[in-house]
Amino acid sequence: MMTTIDELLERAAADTRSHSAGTSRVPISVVRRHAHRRTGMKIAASALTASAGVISVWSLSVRDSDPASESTLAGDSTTPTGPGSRAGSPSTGVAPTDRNYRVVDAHLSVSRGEATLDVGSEHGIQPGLGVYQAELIGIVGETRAASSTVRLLGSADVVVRAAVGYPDAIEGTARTVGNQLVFTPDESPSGDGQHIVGMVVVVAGGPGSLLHAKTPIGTITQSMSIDGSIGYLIRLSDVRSDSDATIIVPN
Amino acid sequence: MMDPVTARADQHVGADVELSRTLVEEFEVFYAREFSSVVRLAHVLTGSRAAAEDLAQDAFVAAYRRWPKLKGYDDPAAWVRRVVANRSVSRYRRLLSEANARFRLQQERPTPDEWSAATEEVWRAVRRLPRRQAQVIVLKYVDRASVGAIAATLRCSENTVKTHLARGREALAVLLGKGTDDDDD
Repeated sequence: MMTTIDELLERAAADTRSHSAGTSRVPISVVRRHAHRRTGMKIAASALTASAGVISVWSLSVRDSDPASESTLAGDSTTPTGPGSRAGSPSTGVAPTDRNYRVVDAHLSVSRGEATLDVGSEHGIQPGLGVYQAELIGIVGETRAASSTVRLLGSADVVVRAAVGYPDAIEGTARTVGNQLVFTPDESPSGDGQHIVGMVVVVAGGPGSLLHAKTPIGTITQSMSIDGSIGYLIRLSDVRSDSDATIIVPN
Repeated sequence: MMDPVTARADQHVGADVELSRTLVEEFEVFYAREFSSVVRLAHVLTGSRAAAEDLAQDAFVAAYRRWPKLKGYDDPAAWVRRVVANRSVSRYRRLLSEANARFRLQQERPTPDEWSAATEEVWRAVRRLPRRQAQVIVLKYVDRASVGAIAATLRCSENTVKTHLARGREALAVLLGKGTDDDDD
């Protein structure tokens, strides 16, 4: 007896439903925020840990609603001077924008699906002072190197914040040097498969741009040689045009 | 311009934190209930689990930002499904050109739990159909949606849905070399 299309589709659908019950990502809504008395603020954001090993995390941008704080931000708003340059202090990564959004330095750690961002009180962010909004960021590139350098070409409103380890967090220091960001782990990744899986990219400019930054899965356009090594050319193609950036992540 | 959700949260932060928490909690219930099936819908239409998760995530983020308005809809999930269905087709085409790069990344990763080759053959054929036909086929079979629900999701008439279903099945019969069954719907 001939199998009909309807039967084929029913079988395929049943098979599909039985194989895709689990999900691995969570949306921005699950971001939890609460004040932290000693550090100014602590944000615990659910990381997006995919079964296939892709990790996406959330970063933090801050929009202060306090008038005094906003005036301070406006005073910091210098015009970026070139590719990869940072408005404000490169070392702190403060990036004032036309919307009074700024990306602040935050200690980020990711461990098995949970990301935590600790924001220091040196940024003048205090509990209850303003509006804090965690934003989607993308992981770009993948490297097993003990340290990584990320070169930013294009928008100055993009900064790489930290490296993310898989399956466990890799602690280290990320610092900007000119238009590069260098991440150096505190310790070499262990030999049991732990490795750096990506760099956290923060696109300043408000939620509209950040929310459309993607993980590299859908945005890598080609691989290419950079300084003799193979890297990934990643274009955050869905980022708002005035925040568009090309990021090269060497292996 | 600030989106409605952010604006509303701005107005209430500090003064009425409970409101934004309530919104978030409501949304999380909605998300927990719908996310899996929305990912499944996008997965079939794009052929990529990772892309499906991205699309679903984007759609839910968009829904979150409209939640004060969206939660008043008769069926907020239909809005999310429509967004995902519409974006899936264009995303699928883009994914084709990115396949090599993704393959390279995925070589070092464990293979996710996937459906059978026979199932994939069916969905591959579905993805070759015209956009509307593919959408109604997937909504009907994968989502088990009624003709009325599909019409509401895609904002078209039930007769249009039936037409797309019939034409989609006919086209699939040719692509897969199978017979059709005209006695449903």
